[in-house]
Amino acid sequence: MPGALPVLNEAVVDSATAVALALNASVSKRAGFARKNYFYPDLPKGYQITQHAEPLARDGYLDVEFEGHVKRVGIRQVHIEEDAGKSVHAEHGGEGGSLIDVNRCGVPLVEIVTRPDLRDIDEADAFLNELRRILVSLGVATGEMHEGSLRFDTNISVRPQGATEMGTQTEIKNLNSFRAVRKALAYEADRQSRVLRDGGKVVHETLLWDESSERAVPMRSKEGASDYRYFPEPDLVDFEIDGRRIERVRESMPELPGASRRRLVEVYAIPEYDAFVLTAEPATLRLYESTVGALLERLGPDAPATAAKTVSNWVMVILRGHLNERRITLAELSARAASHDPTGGKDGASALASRLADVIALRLRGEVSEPAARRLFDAAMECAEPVDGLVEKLDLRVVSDEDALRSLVRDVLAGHPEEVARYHAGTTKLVRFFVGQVLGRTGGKADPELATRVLLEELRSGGTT
Amino acid sequence: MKLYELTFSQIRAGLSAGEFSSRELTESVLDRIERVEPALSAFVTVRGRGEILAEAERADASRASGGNPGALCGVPVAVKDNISTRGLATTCGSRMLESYVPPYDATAVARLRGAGAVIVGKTNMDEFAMGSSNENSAFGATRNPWDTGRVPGGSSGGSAAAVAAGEVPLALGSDTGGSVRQPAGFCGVVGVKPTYGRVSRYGLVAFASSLDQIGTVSRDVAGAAALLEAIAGEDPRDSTTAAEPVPSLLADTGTDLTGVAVGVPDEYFADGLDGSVAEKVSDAVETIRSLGAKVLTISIPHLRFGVAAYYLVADAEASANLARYDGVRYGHRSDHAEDLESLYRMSRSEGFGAEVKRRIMLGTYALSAGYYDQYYLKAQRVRTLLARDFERAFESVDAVVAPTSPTTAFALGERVHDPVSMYLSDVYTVPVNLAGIPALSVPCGLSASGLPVGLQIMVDKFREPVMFRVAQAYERAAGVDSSLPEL
Amino acid sequence: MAVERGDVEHVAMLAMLAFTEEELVAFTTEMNGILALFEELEGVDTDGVEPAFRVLRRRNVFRGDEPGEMLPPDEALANAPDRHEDAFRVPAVLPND
Ligand SMILES: [Mg+2]
Ligand SMILES: [Zn+2]
Repeated sequence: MPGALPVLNEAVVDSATAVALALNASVSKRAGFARKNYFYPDLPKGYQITQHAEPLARDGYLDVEFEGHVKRVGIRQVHIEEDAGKSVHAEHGGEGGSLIDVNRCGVPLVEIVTRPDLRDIDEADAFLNELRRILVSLGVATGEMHEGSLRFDTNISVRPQGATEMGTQTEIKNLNSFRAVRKALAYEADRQSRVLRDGGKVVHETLLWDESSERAVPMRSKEGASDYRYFPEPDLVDFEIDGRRIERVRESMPELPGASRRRLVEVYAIPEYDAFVLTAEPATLRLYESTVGALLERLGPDAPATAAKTVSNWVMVILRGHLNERRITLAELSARAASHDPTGGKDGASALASRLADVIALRLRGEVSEPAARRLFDAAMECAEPVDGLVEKLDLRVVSDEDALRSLVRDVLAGHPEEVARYHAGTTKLVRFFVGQVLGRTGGKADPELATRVLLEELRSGGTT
Repeated sequence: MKLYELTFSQIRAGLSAGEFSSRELTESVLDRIERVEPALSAFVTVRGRGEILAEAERADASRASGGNPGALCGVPVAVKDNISTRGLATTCGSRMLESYVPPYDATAVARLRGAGAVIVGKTNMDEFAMGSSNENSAFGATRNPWDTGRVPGGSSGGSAAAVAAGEVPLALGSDTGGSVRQPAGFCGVVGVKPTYGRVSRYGLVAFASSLDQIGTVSRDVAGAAALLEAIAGEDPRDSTTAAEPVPSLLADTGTDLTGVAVGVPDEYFADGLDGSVAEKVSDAVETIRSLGAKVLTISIPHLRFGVAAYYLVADAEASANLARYDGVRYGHRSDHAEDLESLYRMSRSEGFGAEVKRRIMLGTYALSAGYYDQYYLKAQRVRTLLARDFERAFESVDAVVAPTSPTTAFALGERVHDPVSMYLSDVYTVPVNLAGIPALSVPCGLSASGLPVGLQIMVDKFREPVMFRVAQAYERAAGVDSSLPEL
Repeated sequence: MAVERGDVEHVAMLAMLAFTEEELVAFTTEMNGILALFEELEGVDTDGVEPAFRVLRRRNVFRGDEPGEMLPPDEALANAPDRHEDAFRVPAVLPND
């Protein structure tokens, strides 16, 4: 509206400072804003308030593990600017035109500008994924690209093999998913290569990615229209980022994903792959570590060396499967766990970790079989009953009574004389069939190891009586 | 004496003594508007009589119910048409915003309402405050009440003419390069441009953000002080408002100026200054000396570069501030557009007048690739030098006095087609905005041809109380005839 | 340095203004006159002088991270020349829309 004025939101200064520190950039003592002037319908003032001459931070880098080596990507600057509106490029009842939603306008955002260090699409993808993990762990973005909380603009140029000078770049905006980034980079690299091969010149321009046609369309056509006439924003005063702010931000910063990964491998002796998956989301990492802690408490000195790896499997596979089947998020499941917490004093993450540790402890003590443990976990997520009580209630405790099991085994062998004959004739893989039969009769409760041992003993003793 | 002829001090005394009601005062003012407005065109919009009188009656009721009525309780006030008023058209004197109705009040307007003022309407102005004559209004030029063949000055010409003609006792204007002081001088009223940051710009439609300030127009110095006190002070919605507390602006110190050092800069009395203006201003300086002030000759060496520096800075900022008028969200939209770009170009070209386009072009040029350093940056450096000139002056004096303008009101049509001569008429007022200091124009008599002359009083940042003290002492001692012009 | 018609056209393109042929010619002359006034600044020695972009020395003016008052959409869109639901309508942004 005419007469409206901007005021800087302090939270974005802290967020941007955290991003700058995470990306090893040097934070300026003093920063200010400028107006970037251009006409576009999603830009209601005809200029964007951004940082130009005095960005918040400059000259950082991010190390990305990529195909077995570490790739260092330079960060040119980290700055704050205001968001623009959204254009909906859709036909409406045949009336045509574009619709402009200005609700998001003026909301502050942090922009990170890299140096031209990325050489191909896979590198770019690895970098963006690592960057996303960092931003999510810092809590400055939810990482949901479709919500617009995280967006990428890419600049790309190609050059003939052997050439040392970079080619003319184009910028692509409106990329709303990692997939779109990959598609757009491939599209544009291909287009530029064809232009050069045909003896043409690439024009420095801004393109909009059109998701439906998977094409990049020029956004502003006129040459020279990109004279942005930056000048200091007179409606905002400069701001200072003193040592105290930097220290406060640094202290509030969580461990970054790279450091978490190294720590998990070192402390829990789990594979790098597991560490990578477990650090993808701060909530997953928190759940993993709380569960391991709770589990070790329950098992005490008897804890096997592989306990931490077992938890990793549970979190990565069983828990993930549980979430996917039910189409719920980890946060939703945690909330459910908290609502079932009898003490009522636990937050979602620790309530979930506590239930999970109860189940895994039973499993590691050999009190329930693997399939029974899974059923137990599913059940434990639906009610407030203590896990121990649930085991009895659902009759899931492992059948470890060797005599009972032996009589079951004998029954099974007696019921399948043909198979027993084939086994003795050399078809040893039938062991699995017999074990399956035995477990089936116990409703999955029998300890498969014990069942196998007893079965082999019975087969060996020629139990063909 | 009619109620519309009263100054603010007389109104304040009369209302609190119960000599007349706000309703009676307001009716008198509205009758006056009805009678003289056809000759003046000082207003773009006058609110409905019923609405206004209802507000006046509410003010009377609140005064009667005891307690502490607001400082402006029941006083009719006009507001320049570039200051946003919720539900009341705010055109900025432009076709572009002819039908624009703000959904919110400017902070200054909200504070006016809070102080109990009765807003009667919106005053005419040069389009987007760009002009020194009010001839750049899309709704017709305002006339000077002292001579309707002459301009009232600008861009707050409507506010100055309305106050000078007794249409309202108080009005708000805006001053980017002299837009309150120059018309106040031309119309024989008091005009104040406060320290940059003293009054919130929230809701003031931006012309040049680093220079714009809302200012006051009144018949007397006391009215200016009361109006400014009502609207001044930090505003969380404007990052550039000052945190400094607003002091009481006007102590009753009589006419004694002992202990006050006043500087008279040589450069303001050089070539281009009209003889009759020089004479009146010199007389005023003598009066001030006679009140006990120490008068010193000082220097503002970069004065003559002020106009160039000012127009570069102001136009550059304006080129961005006026980019929002593109026919998309509010304002004029062309019927002749075929695509998005022609929608922009046509809407802007149809909606803006010649002077606005001229300034957008100059400002765009001054910021464009290859010219930024030569024009824009250079002007900002010269601005530093001018600010330093004043800082140095205020090391030895409390106030600087000078003419408000080099001439008295010029004839309609005289300069409107000669932008350079129009710009040069702002030579004495623009340095104040570049330096961010406050200044006040107080009438210092009529020239030989019967036109008002303004005396400008400038002080250091946040020293408005000294400025008001000198102005009021002079106003009382000079006994300037405060009767209204014949209309 | 004189501004030529082509320069004026370029600036008009940046400023999103349209001029007729006559206006362009007249404005070129006029702009040269005004630029001559501006060029008086070339004579001022500004070596080592910092530009004064803002006149107040204030720093670090912030707002909290809470939403402020919001205009109801109908009020925010009341002045729109062309509105569709809660959005402003313009001619197609992308050429093939
Ligand atoms: Mg940007
Ligand atoms: Zn529709």
